[in-house]
Amino acid sequence: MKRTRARVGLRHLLLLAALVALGAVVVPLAVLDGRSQASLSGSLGSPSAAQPPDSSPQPEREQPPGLEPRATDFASHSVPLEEFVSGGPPRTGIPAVDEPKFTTVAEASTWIKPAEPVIELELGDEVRVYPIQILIWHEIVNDVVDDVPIAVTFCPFCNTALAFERRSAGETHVFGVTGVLRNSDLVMFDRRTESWWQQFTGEALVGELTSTRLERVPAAIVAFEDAAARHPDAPVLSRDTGYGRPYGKNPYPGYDSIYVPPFWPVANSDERLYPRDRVVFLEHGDDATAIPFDALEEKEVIRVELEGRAFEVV
Amino acid sequence: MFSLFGPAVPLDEPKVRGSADVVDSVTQERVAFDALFWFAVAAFRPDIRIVRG
Repeated sequence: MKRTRARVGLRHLLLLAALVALGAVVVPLAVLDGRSQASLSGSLGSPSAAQPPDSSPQPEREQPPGLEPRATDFASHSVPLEEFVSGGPPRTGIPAVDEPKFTTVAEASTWIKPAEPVIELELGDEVRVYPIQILIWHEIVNDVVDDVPIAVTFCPFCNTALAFERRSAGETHVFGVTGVLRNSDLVMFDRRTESWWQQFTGEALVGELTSTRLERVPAAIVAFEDAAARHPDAPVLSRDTGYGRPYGKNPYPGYDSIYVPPFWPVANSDERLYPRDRVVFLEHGDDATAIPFDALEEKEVIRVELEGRAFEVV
Repeated sequence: MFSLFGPAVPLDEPKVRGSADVVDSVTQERVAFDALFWFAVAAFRPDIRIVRG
């Protein structure tokens, strides 16, 4: 599929203008040291176009026994604090799903379209399916799969669907949504230490657990019909999340137009591809590669080698 | 093939859609990867190389 910039239509230009204008309300989070999480949350009130319609703060989940809520330790950080910006909703304004319920493929087929994207997660002997139509409203599901605590995460602004084992140094974490972004990507917090974790890398960047990394668990976005065909008995995350959200509706229509630059600041602009071209990102050791989806349309299998290990991208 | 956002995205929008999977060539085991927007990859890994096969 050959595309040229000349194909950018008036609709895209108007959308770009609107996004640029709205970008003025993004609040840089400069000089955070010494402020409590509560006061920080209060400073993040600027709404944005990408804010879900109902993003009012949700009641805090009960802390685990013996642990008191703690504010983020902003004195510990591995990246400049100025790189974090408000995404609009306050802390927990986008509520994580902590007590996921599951339904059957057959029941889910009544409200998920065959071509809709879902996250297919396979761990040990278990396979579970997490519809994007639910994740787009919650961004994090704190689950347990095959007796392993797992965080299934989705950032609608980067289109990143990543799953992590939510344990480090013998501790099990429960994650929430900070409402803060870095490089336009979801920043999570763990409820025990209030450290801030970058979804893209699974690394804590701010707080007590700075430089701690979560272990990735293989998970892929696939069409629901494909997941259902491969795993007809797999549990599917239910719409019964305990929260009232219009599942099936997109709170960010038009956001993923490939020509529009990122809404929030990002560290590096690279014009080898369009900003929202979708790519497969694969890393092994210190090496990494990106395979554009349009290349995968032309070749069913692309073979790559990273630090001596061979992979097939299909 | 899927539409990420269903009917909210105009069907004539010239975008690439689809899904992918990655396996180890030797063991055929599935490998963790990410499928996301290019700008995010460029932001976090400015040294990234692009492979088209």
